[in-house]
Amino acid sequence: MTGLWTAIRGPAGALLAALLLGFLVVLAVSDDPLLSYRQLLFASFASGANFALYLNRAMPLILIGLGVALSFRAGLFNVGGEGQLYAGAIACAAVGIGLPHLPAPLLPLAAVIASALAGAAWAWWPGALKLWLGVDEVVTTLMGNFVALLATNFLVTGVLRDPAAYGATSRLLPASSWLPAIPGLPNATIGLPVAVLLAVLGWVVLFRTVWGAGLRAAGSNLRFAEAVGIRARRDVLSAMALSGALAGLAGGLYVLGIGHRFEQNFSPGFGLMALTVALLARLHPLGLIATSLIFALLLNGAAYMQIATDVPRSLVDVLTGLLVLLMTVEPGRRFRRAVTS
Amino acid sequence: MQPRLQLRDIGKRFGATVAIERIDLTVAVASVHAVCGENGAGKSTLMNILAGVHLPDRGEIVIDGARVAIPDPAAARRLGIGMVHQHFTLVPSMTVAENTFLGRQPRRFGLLTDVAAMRVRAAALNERYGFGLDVRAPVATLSVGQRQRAEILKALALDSPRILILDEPTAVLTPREADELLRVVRTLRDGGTSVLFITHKLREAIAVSDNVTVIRDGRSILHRPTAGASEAEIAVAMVGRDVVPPQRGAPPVLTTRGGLSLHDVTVTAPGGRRRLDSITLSVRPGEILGIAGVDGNGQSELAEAVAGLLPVQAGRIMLDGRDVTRASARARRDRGLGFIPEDRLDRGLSPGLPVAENLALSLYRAARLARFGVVSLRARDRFARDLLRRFDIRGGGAGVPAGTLSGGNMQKIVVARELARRPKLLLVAQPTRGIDIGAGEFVHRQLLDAAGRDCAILLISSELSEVLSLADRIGVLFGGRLVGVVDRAAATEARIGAMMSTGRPA
Ligand SMILES: Nc1ncnc2c1ncn2[C@@H]1O[C@H](COP(=O)(O)OP(=O)(O)OP(=O)(O)O)[C@@H](O)[C@H]1O
Ligand SMILES: [Mg+2]
Repeated sequence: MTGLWTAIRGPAGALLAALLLGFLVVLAVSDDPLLSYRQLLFASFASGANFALYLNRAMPLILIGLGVALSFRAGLFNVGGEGQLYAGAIACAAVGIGLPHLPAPLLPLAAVIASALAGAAWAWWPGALKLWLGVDEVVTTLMGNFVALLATNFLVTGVLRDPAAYGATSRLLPASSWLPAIPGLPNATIGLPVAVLLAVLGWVVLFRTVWGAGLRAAGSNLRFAEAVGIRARRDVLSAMALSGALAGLAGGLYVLGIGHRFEQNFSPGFGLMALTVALLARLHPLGLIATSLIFALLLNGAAYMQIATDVPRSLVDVLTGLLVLLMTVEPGRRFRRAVTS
Repeated sequence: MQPRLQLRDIGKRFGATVAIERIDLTVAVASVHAVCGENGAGKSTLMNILAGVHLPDRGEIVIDGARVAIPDPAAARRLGIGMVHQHFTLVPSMTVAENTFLGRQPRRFGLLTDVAAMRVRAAALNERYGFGLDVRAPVATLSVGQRQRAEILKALALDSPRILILDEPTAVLTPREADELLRVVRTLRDGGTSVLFITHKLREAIAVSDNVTVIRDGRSILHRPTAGASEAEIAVAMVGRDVVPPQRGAPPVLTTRGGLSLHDVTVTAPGGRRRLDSITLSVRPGEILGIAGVDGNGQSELAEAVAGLLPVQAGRIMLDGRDVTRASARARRDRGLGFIPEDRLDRGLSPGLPVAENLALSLYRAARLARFGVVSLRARDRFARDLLRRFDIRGGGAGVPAGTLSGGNMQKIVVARELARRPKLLLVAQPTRGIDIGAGEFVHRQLLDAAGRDCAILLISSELSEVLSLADRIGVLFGGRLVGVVDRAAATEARIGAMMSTGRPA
C-alpha cells in the first residue's frame, strides 16, 4: 500500500500543480475562469454523448502509450506512435474497403489483424536498423511519422478517396465490419475496454513473465542480458514490433469503432500525447490507464471549454508542457544516487 | 599541527539501511590515509559525503580548522576536495581534456567553451603530475590504467587540491600500473595534498599510507599509524576474526572425460590483429585451470569467446563433449556453462533492476521459479532471500535496486547467481575484484567446493596470488598467446612472473 502511494505521489503532485498553474493562466486570459475550468474538467460527464466521446479519445492513448512503455522498457525509444497509428488505420481501411464480401465476423478480424501488422512493420524497420546498424531509432521513428502521414494522405486523396465526400476521407467501411458499442453507451466503442484489457495483459507480460524479465534486463543492460543467455536482440526487436502493433491496433480500432472510414489527419496528436502519458505513468502499464484517462479528459474537456468560454483549447498544450516540466524534477534526484555506488 | 580534515560523529542512513553508524576520522596535512573495511562497511558512503554527493544525517566536517558544509559536488570542489569514484565516471566519447573540465569548462565570451585554454590547462596538469596522457585523445581509446589517471586528473583539476579521495583506485590496474599510481600518490602527498586511499589490497595500504583507519559496520574501530602494522592485524580488525585464505589441496584424480577444451582458437580484431592466437587448452571436470597474465593480453577475449559472446575466426571449442564453437551464449549455458564476467557493471548485472531479479534472471526455468513462463514472485523472492543469506550479501533485501549495493556486494550477487546454476563448467574472470578479504576467502572457498563437485573451472585472474593458491595448473596469456601451462607443484611466483613479463615459457 505504501509502495503504491510512493509510486503515484510524484505524478499526482505534478498533475495537481500543473492544474493549479494552468488555472493561473486561465485567470489571466479569461473573463470566467471558473466556468472554463468546470468545462475542462466536468463537461465530459455532462451527457452520455460527451462521456462516450471521452472514452473514445482515451483508447488510442492507452494503446500507443502501452507500446511506448514496452519499447522504452526494452531499451528502444519508439517515438513513432503517431506514424504507426496512421499505418494501422490505413491498413484497416484498405482491408475493410477491399474485401467487403468477407463474412461478418471475419471482416473486422482481418482488418484488425492488418492494422496490427502494419503498425508492427512500421516499428520493426527502425528497430532492425538500430540493432543491426546502430542507426538511432529516435530519428528513424520520428521520420517515420512524417512518411506515414504523407503516404496515407496520398492514398486517401487517391485510390481510397470517397468521391462523394467533401473532405479527404476514404469510402465508408461496410457496416459488417463496425465494432459494437459498450452496452448502454451507444457512441462509445468497445475499443476502450479492449485497450484496458491489453494494458493489464501488458503489465502481466512485463512484470510477471520470464520473457518480460528478460526484456527489462535487456532494456537496462543489453550486454548483461546477452551474457546470461537471453536472446536479447531478438526479444528487443519483438518488443519494438509489438509496440508498433499496439499503435497500429489503435488506428484499426479507431477506424472500425469511431470513424468507420479513414480520415486525413484524424489524430489530434495522439502519438505525442501518448509519449507524455507513458512517461507520466513511469512506463507502468497500469499507471498508464490512469494517466490516459486523465489526459483524454483534458483533451475532450478542452473542446467543450473552447465552445463555452473564451479560453482556446490549446490550453491543453500548456498543461501538457507544465506537466512534463514538473515531472522531470524527479530524475535529477535519481542521478545523484546513481553516481554513488 | 592542525589536522587537514576532521570528521566527527558522522552518521548516515538510506531509508532503513544504516550505511554509517558513527564515524570519526582525522587526516593530517600532507599524508596518505588508508581506509579499510569490509564490503558495505560504509567507506564509499563516507567519501561521497566528503565529495558532496550525499548529505550526512549527523556530525560535523572540519577542514583546516574551519567547520564546513558540503551540500553538493561543486561545494566540495571549491573546498579543494577531489574524488575518484569506485566506478568510472568519464564520458568515453569525450577527450581527456573535455572530461577533466566537464561542467566547468573555461569560457570565452562567457558562453563558448574555450577549447584551447582547456587543452592547455589539462596538458599543464598532466605535465605537473607526470601522467603521460594525451589530453586530446578520446577516453574510449585509453587503457584502463590511463583512464584511471584521467579520472585522477579530473579530480585534481581544482584550484588548490587539499584533499584527494581515491576509492579503490587500483582494483582494475595491472601491478605495474598500480605501482605507478602509488608513486603518483606519494608525489601528491609530498606536494602537500592529503590523500584518502581506499583499498581492499592490504599490502598496498601498508605500502603507501602513513595512517590507517578501519571501518566495520559503519563504525570507525581502529586508528593507527601504518608503521609497524601488519596485514593480518588490519584484516582481523576488518573482519573480526582470523582470515585463513583457502588453499587448493592435492590435485584431483581426473577420471571422467568432458569439461572444456579449446583447439587452436583464434580471435581477430576488425583491423586484423590477433587478439587470441591459436589457444589450445583443456579443463577437466573437477579441475581448476588458472590463466595468469597482465591485464589486456587477451583475457577479456578468452572469456568472451568461451562464453559465446565473441565469434572466433578459427579453431574449435568443446564443452562437455559437444562442439559449441558456433553455439550461442544461451545454448552454452544450457549445456552447463556458468560465467562470472570481469566487470560486474558491464556484463554482470543490471544496476537498475531489483536484487531478486538480478539473482533469478536466467534461472527461472532451471530453479523452477516460473510456470508456463509466468513468474511466481513468492518462489523468486524465496530463492533470492536464500542466496542473500547463503552468500551473506548485505545492503538491503531482495527488492532494492542492485545498483545501491556496495561494489563488493554487487560482485557477490554475480557469484551467487552463477554458482546457483550448479554449472559443469565455470568460467571465472577476476572473481575477487573489489571485494574484501573475508568475502574473497568466501568466494575462493565456493570455487574450491564447486571443483569438488566435479565442476571444471577456468579461472582468469590478474592476481597472481589468487591463481597460485587455487589452480591445479597455470597458464600465462601474453599478447594473445598461451605461453606454457605449468603444474602448480612446479609453479612459483617468480617463475610465473617471468613468463608474464617475457612471454616465454620459463
Ligand atoms: N544510494 C544508496 N541507497 C541505498 N543504500 C545505499 C546507497 N549507497 C550505499 N548504500 C548502502 O550503504 C551501505 C554502505 O555502502 P558503501 O558503498 O559505503 O560500502 P563500501 O564500504 O564502499 O563497500 P565496498 O567495499 O563493497 O565498495 C551498504 O549497505 C549499501 O547497500
Ligand atoms: Mg565502495
